[in-house]
Amino acid sequence: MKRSLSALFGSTLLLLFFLLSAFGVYKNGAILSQETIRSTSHIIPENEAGIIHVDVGQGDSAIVVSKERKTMVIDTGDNAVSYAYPNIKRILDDNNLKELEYVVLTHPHQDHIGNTLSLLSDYDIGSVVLNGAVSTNETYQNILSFIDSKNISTSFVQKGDSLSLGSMKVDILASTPEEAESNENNASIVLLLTDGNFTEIFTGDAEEKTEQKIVSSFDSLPVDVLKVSHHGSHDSTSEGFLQLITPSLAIISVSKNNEYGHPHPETINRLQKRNIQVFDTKTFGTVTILLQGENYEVYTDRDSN
Amino acid sequence: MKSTQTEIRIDRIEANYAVCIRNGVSFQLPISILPIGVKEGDILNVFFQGSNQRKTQERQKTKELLQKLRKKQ
Repeated sequence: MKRSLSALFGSTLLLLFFLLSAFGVYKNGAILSQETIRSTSHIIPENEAGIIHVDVGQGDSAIVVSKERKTMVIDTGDNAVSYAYPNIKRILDDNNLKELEYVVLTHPHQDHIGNTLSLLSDYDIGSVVLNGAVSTNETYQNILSFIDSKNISTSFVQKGDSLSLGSMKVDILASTPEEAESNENNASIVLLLTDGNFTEIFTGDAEEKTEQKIVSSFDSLPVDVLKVSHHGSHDSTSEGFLQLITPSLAIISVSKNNEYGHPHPETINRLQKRNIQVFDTKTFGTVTILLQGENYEVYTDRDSN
Repeated sequence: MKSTQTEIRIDRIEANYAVCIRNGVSFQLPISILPIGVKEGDILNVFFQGSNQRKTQERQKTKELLQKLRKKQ
């Protein structure tokens, strides 16, 4: 009996090894395995929390799931990217997420709000979180009209506000609609997500001006993960900002061969100089961070090879 | 804002987009906004003129939508 139990244990370990080796899996940034699997790396198991940086091509979208299955979508990618919304929807549906507590629109640029109307139509929405920027973007106007016609709840957030997502806390570090007059990127809602000891900062497209405002508000703001601002453009992710937040991991949402030169080599250099491990969606596809108490693991659709 | 005039060349038609070239740089425009019958090799003169009146109107529209939603909060 003892022998067969041992054999069973051995087989289970072997199976676990094969399963793990089929993923791109990284524990607290260190590589565990770099094989490829595309079908299940974006699943957040029941009673666990996670953050899914969805591969939406040139654009931004992240799905945050608390261990109570409360869900927040931050930005919705660009509707000009054919696979952006199908990827968002597939991930929500594969995780059986039907109600979205919050849909955060960091700022009214097409590559961040492009699929919002589809999302608002397809899911039950708790509240749409807005910075209140005045913009001439037609999609933004259509979203505002849709929210009004469907009586969807809205939250116009300001610096210092906080939201609860189950046991997770979301602090608003910046939201400056008045900046949109000259630069909509700098009006971006910047969020700090906290789950136990884990923290991730989501920066929208905030540029150095907004980063500096955050720097001047905190003596120290260490985070585990940085969602790199503005797809790795050189006008964001400044030295001072990195010095404040000292992330271990950086996620860049960007498409292959984009015409904007994202991510900029200067930005990559600033991250690498600080030994920050970088995952970009153009290389790795969707990047999922699974939160497991003190630790987190990173699962990717593809490996870097 | 000053108005500008420029010349673009239609490199090719890809699905619903015209791939245009200006100064060696390509970019896409939806065929729906181009003259009917446009085809590859055509050269188009494009005139850009800002409309402050339209900008003000559209900003006002957004402001009113935001105000309406704020009141409902």
